[in-house]
Amino acid sequence: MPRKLKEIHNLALPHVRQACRSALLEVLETMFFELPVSELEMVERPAVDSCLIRAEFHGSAEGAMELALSCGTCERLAASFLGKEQSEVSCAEKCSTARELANMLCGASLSRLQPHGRMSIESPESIPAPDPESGPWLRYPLEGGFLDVELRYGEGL
Amino acid sequence: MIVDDSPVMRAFVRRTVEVTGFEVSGYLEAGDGREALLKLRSSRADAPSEQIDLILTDINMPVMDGEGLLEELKRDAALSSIPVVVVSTDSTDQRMDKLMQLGARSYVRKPFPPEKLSEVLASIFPELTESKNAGLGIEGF
Repeated sequence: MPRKLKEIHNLALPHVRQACRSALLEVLETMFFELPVSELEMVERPAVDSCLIRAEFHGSAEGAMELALSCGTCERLAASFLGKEQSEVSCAEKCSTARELANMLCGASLSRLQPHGRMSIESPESIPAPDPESGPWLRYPLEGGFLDVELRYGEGL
Repeated sequence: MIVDDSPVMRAFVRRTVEVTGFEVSGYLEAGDGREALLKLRSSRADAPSEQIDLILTDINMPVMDGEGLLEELKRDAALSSIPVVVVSTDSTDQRMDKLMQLGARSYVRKPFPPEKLSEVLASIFPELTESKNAGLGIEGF
């Protein structure tokens, strides 16, 4: 049975938004050599649902991060990450890269939000649709696509 | 040896080690701590003269996580001297303290630039860094 959470935090809150924004900039620049092509913005729903990943975490804070990106964006990121041409990236590598991206973004966000917390991130998994209660989302504009991210968590009683 | 349940992360770490300029004669890879131990013991039995110089490991993995791997390595006299560097997103102070107590030599928090890994490798293998700076071939891990 899920634990009751005394307070829900999501991207509507400025400190959560700031932590997630900093994590996105750090992870995408450092590991994928990608800079945003314009300002990051808040949106109600993700732009695409072709590749949806969810990373759940447990511990002193419990919740999940969801990622939404197109297949083309996923291929572009996987190519940068692996140092390959986009045409050389396999389907398995695209999926594995998206899951690793979710893992790193979740970890980088939580380390900013809960620097002294003790949490464990589960292996990220593909999901068929975003959580119906998800939102708002933070959109990172890349060349030729978007990466949309949602973070929601509560602190345990 | 690179231990991570993500095959793309293992490929990324391998490529980053190559970018740092450390010459590596070969890699072993494993998807979790249990597989890492099996490969290390098998390698030791099959080729005792070929030494594993370094283990780069994630923490959160199925079957046996990074903490479990460190505990097992500590108990095995033949493997306990191999330096272990943790490469993970999990970077809370408490976690790092525990990993250091378990015998980890250093910690690289993901995301990381190649220079960070280079710095850690240089601290573990200072003699190789001098050779690298002199443009000589290096036998790393």
